[in-house]
Amino acid sequence: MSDKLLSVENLTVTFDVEGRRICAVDDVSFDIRPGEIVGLVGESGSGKSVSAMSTLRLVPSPPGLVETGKILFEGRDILKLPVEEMRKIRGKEISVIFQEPMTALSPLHFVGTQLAEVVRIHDPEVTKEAAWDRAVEWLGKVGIPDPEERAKAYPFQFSGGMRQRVMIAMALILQPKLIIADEPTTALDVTLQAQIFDLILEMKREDTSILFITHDMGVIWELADRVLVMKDGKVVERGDVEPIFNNPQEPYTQQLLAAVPRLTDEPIAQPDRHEDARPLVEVKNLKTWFPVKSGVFAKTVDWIKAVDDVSIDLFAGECLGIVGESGSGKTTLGRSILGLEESQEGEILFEGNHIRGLGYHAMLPYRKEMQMIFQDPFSSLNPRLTVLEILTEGLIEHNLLEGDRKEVAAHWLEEVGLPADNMNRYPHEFSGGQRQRICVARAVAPKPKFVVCDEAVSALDVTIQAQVIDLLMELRDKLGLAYLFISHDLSVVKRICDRTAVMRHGKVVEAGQTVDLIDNPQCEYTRNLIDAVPVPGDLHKRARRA
Amino acid sequence: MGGIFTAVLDPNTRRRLRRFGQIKRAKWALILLVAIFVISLFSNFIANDKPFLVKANGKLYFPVFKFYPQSEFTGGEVQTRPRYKDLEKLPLFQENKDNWMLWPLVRNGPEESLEPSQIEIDPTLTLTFSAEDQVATVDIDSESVIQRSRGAAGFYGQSSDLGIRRKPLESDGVSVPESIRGGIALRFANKAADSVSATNAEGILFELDAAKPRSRAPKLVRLSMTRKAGKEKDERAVMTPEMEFVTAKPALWERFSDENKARILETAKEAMVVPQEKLSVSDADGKFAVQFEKETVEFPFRPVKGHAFGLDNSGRDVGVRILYATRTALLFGIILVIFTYVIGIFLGSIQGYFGGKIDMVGQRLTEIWEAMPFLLIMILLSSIYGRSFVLLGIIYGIFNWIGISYYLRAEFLRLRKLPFVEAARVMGIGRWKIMFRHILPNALVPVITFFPFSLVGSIFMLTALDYLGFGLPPGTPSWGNLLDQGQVQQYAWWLILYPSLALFIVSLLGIFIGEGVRAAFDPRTNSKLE
Repeated sequence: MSDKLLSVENLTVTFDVEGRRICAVDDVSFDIRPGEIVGLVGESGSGKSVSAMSTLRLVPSPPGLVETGKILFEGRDILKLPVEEMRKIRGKEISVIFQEPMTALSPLHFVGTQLAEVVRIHDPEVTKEAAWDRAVEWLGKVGIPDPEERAKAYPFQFSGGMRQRVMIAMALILQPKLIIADEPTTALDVTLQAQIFDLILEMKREDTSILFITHDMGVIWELADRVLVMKDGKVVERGDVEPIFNNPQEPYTQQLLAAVPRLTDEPIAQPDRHEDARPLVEVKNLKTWFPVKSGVFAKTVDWIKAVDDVSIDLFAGECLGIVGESGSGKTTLGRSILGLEESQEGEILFEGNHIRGLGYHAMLPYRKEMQMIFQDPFSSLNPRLTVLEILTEGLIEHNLLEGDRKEVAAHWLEEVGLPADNMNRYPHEFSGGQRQRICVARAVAPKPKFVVCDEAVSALDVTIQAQVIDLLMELRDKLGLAYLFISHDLSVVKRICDRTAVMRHGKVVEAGQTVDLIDNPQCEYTRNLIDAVPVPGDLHKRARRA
Repeated sequence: MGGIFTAVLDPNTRRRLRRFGQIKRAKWALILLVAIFVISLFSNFIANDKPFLVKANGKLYFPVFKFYPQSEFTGGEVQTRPRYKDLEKLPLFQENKDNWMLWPLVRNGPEESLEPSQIEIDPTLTLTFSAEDQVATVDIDSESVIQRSRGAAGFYGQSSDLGIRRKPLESDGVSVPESIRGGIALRFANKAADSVSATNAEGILFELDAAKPRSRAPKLVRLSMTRKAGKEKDERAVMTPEMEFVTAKPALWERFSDENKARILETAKEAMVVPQEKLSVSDADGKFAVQFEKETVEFPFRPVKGHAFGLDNSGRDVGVRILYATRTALLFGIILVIFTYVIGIFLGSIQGYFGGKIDMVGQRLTEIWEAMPFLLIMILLSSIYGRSFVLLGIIYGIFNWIGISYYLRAEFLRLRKLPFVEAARVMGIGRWKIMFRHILPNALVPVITFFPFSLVGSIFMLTALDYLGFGLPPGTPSWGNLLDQGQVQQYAWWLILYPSLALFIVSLLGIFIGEGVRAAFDPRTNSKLE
């Protein structure tokens, strides 16, 4: 017993969904030893988060219900503890780092106050001053520069990465024995992710156990000692990381590993381009600045230079990658080209026609030529319309409908690999991957020449991600599309983009052939981006754990 | 508007409906309110002074739906609306065995003013006999002979003062005490004397006022005679319209002289028809007051057989009027709310979707508009243009859209930035289509959750305006109108209680439904954490 900090035995959790009981976690058992990082990997809906939250009794009930099983923490059965005892364990013995750092912190209090509060809740004898000092100390430990000043700042005054550090400080401040990290870096850029990993490894060295939940095999490779692969509520494979990565037994694990994009992947063949061809889209010195207004009369006092003097070309049938950290202006660039954001200066030419600043009516003829695929497949489909309506609405609007509406919808559904009889269903009846396929179908249905993919695969599980990328490439070859592929994931970009531009602070810092860019980055920023990508199988990266 | 239609069918809405169904109280409130509404829609067939169907002279008539002049049934030239109830009883109508009328459940219409004679009330007359003090004044001459008297006949067993004229004061068993006799003598002798009072053997109190010597001796002296009422209790007797006592005749009855009995019966006969003053009857051993009490029908009249909710001040059945008023309230409540919502949704959507200057200017104008006092303008305009449904609807509509427009504006501001709306923009979908097909169906949550509350609000407003006399046209059955009558005739509790109860029930049901809808849209309230 002594070598096990936490042991979960035959845990089964069900959820009441509209009167039916759905099994979210099915007979799951695992142990965590002191000072160990256990990775819990699986696709969304595989039950990994529910398993982890059950150990803190944080599954909302109803609709959730722990049917069977035991959860032993240092020999105590957590499921049978009284609520008071449980409250002492939460935060002090086991704590959680959540995925979304913005919503997990109160926006109305100083971060220092929130940290100090955690201390005083669990140990009321600590004075306010002492608690504050401890908060400052821990903010320093998680790498917040100038912690004494920053403790008196509100959460919104921190960047995403800094907020996640504050969350980690909050989880660590009571020096718990076990930390549950629920996709703590999924919402972060790769460079920030790398910094958080360093922190987590530091904690491990101080003998803290970590249950790390992720869908990214690369992350597991970089951090975990042991891994549990979950699928449909069951653990399908378990063991030490290296044997599983080198020699996965289960087909599902093999599939997961194969789907991870790697920088070493061979690029997909690009179509040849005529040297003298005219670019399909030309962007010249584009500036999209957002005014910062202040005062009673909303005077513009400053500008946020989201896109600042950017020039790019995109040829027919080409896939151009735009990479950069969040806030680098890559999404604004794509939106500006489509006229979703108003830009101040510069030129946007589509097939030689000026389209910047065109009014609603003047822009109409170009609308069917340019489409967009959004990041979040859950909010980019109107929940009130059927798939049939979603797919054909634009066609009807532009008088592009050839033949029967249902036949056209069926054709495009088959084109993106969905059964045609799905057309009368509503978006929420589909999974994330299926929804993104519908988004792709909607975008390509008017037969555009140019599609902006704004982080189109970032929100998807790796296996789905690979499928959607294949679909995009297939459609490009079939329909002769050009993509502006906006992504923070260099490995995906390398796989599909012929040329790539790296953006930082609204400017293009480096551009060129993707292969050259990755093999021989000219710019420090690009090099950091490349280094930060978690790569399964990279021995050098795994070695950092020690 | 196709978007709204699909919103009803889509599974998300169906799930909310199911969740609503699971909230028992809200579900039953909805069923009950819908039932009340449907029943009130058929008011014409439930309570009416016109029959559904009349078969007369081999033809079928539908008086509920259509106007027929009197001449249609009776011949002649009378073009007015026939009184069907009277018509049914006409020999002309009854002669033909094939003639018949099919009546609704309640044979009273909302506008039908009943005659007092049509109200069935207790027909008996109650007589109350109570003993009274007998007070009389008597003027006597120096021979102690009564020259004039008022009310003294009873002391001498006579029924009229004329009967004791020229009779000696001391006769027929009335004796005069010694001190009074002396006093009388002093006054005729024109000497100063104090007031004297003394009681004789029969219990009659004699009193003489103080006197001063005058130039000549008086010809007449006035003395007062009083006999206190006996200790007998009041007696009651009930009489049928046929002038017979229902209970045994009162014990007192036999003590009255035949003359008095005749007077009482005569007055009682009159009291059967017209209320009568109380009657004083003097007899040998006392004076009695007889009160005649018979209930008469005066409007507003209390709940009575056949009119369980009472009658209002024009003799209209309150129950029937409440039924029709419920229809008015719910129907116009719904119409008013829909009208305000259409305006509010339209203006809120435009402000929210276009934003920028349109929003800025729109918001400021809305705030100015909001500051206008609705009631004042309503009262002003209705006193200029008179009261009408249309005016009320328009004024209510243009003043009450503001609340919902704020919610719609906020929803549109939020939703217009969502990717699916941007996808529609990229697709080149028309702006109005984006607003009403893409955004509106997703922005209906506040509309639906507020609807029951707004309905209750508008019903209250309608009632308040009617109460103040600025709502619906005069004569329209409405709760507010009944309450207004009740305020004037404050004893008429049935004019206050029943309409208030109707208002209370409808608004309570509305609020239960509103709560249920809110819970159905926000299921989070059902789950809990430790």
